[in-house]
Amino acid sequence: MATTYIIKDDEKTKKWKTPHGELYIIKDRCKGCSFCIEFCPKKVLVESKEFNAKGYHPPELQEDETKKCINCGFCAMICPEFAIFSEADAQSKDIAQIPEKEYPIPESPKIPEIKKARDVLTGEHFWNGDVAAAEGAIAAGCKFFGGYPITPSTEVAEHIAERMPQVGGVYVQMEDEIASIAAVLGAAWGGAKSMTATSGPGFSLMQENIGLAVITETPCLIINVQRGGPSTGLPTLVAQADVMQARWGTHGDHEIIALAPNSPQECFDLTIECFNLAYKYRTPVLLMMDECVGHMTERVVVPERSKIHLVDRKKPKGEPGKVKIYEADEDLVPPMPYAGEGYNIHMTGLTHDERGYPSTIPETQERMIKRICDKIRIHADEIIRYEEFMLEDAEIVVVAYGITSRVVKRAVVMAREKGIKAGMFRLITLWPFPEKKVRELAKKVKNFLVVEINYGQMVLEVERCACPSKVHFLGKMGGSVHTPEEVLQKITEVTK
Amino acid sequence: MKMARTEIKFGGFGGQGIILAGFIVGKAVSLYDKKEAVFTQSYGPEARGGACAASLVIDDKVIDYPYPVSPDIMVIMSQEAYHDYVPKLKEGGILIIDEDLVSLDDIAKRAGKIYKIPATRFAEELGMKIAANIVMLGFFGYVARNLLTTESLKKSVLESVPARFRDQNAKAFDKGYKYAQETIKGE
Repeated sequence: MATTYIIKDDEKTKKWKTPHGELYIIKDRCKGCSFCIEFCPKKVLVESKEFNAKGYHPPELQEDETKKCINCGFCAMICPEFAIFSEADAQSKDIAQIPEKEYPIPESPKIPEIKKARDVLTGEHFWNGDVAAAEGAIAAGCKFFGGYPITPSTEVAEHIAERMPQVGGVYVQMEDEIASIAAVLGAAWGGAKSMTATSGPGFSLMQENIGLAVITETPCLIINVQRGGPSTGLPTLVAQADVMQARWGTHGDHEIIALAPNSPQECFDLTIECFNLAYKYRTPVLLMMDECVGHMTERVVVPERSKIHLVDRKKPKGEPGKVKIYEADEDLVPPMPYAGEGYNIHMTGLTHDERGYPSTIPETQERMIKRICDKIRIHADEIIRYEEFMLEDAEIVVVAYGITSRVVKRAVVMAREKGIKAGMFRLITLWPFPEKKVRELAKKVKNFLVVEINYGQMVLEVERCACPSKVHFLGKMGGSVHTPEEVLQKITEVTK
Repeated sequence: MKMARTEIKFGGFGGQGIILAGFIVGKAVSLYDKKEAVFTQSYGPEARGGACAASLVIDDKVIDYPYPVSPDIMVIMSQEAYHDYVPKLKEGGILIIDEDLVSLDDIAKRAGKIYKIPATRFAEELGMKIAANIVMLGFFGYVARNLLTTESLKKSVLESVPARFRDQNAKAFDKGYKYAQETIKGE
């Protein structure tokens, strides 16, 4: 072998003299796969008794077999960790003869039969947020998942891929996120409750078709488990920096519904809620999780099926041929026919009239935009959910959502112990923004503090609504959550 | 058993079953002992190699901040994890190590009590090296018997491993537990 290695001569590298050169083993690199032992044609290697730093037994040369090493270099080639290699003597030209051997072709594994299972797993479970969201979707009757797994939302896809066939649903791994969301919209019109889950860059790719879902008024769920960005950013670490993208990511005037859970239990509950909102208002709904909530494991209580409230589509009342698919009722939400039910369905991303036919008339655009926005705006009070914590006598309101709200809760308790009258206002619904409630609070409280894992996003909304109160901001760019002490320090500073 | 917020950290090398060990304890506390537990874990490349950790916060009350601040108990199964995590152990806290894989130095002085077990060696003697984490859990179960019931912990072990490996894991668990009973005296 002509390769030159830099060899440190210490106790961690062991060297043996062999008939045609030397054999080296860098012990701490070994992860105990035994490939070298298995593939050595002369069977000169064995597992040693000692532990290396990783807790594995590195190989060693059998003492009495030393003479048999032929310096073929198979061990170096096969070692995935570059932990073993041999060097030939300069004089030695005696290249080994490899014994011929026939290797049997292994039989291909049998595809296991899929067993049917319950869709609502009533009882107590120890699930992480991603798994809880996947189970929430199945409990809500979701029957189609089109997705492209991406960290940190992968566990949603992974879990749902296993569960969907058990409940008669379909999991399709698409070629990318653009196709994923397109498939989700198609499935919804085909009559299946459908969803996808993604993160960071995948959410960006989905934006255009989220707009298509808005204009075609297609109910569906998009889960975004937020990670650090922009672009690839911090794939495995937390951020809450997609909340403005959730609101304005797709172009054109529109309203969106977005919810933010702060525990695995809420991931389960809010996923069901998201489907209900999507079908009630015929709109795409976003579940804005974050990496910490997605990967945190806690007890999740799944209620009995009869206790789960589900909302289905409003069916058209008229006969096929007489129903216009975008003709809304008084609540501004049009009933939804499914493809194949005999109704005349015309789908387009173009501005369309009540029949669904494209139109370039400004009045049609005005009518359409106003209705798809107003159907959310007039129902904002019904949609919006929030949590109030120690707000009754609060002199400072700390606004938070997602994982940050759990840090803030601790900080508020610590502040109270120090005699500071702090309280927390937690956004469960991010969009539509609870402006009425913030305005109400601003009448009583002079100081607001917004804590979020970004460089200032929801704080803009609070500033818009909290006038004339002072709005302070404590951000973090992502990668970790705030500590309760950091929040407490800011609360103390602001209330001085 | 009444308890205040208690933080436990498991540290080791990716692949040792550190994360599963943390998950099993969390499940035992949360589902079988009916207390509150939040389990968080290393995520990313370190979970497949390098120093890897699993953290658990348990409490009688609902847990707000889910991450450990200064762990009361640390279970350490590799030298790298020892250097990375033990400096954050609470002063006077409990340190449990795999004695074949971790050698102690001055950092360990902050620990109030140190317990040692050759968990990996025992697992190998039982013919299933990958159950070193379960041997360790048996040992941990005895040390932490005031925090969680042994029955819950063992049930959680058996519920969390594939059915065909239950017997072997039960043996591994008992091995660790018995070793603790024999070696930890006068408490």
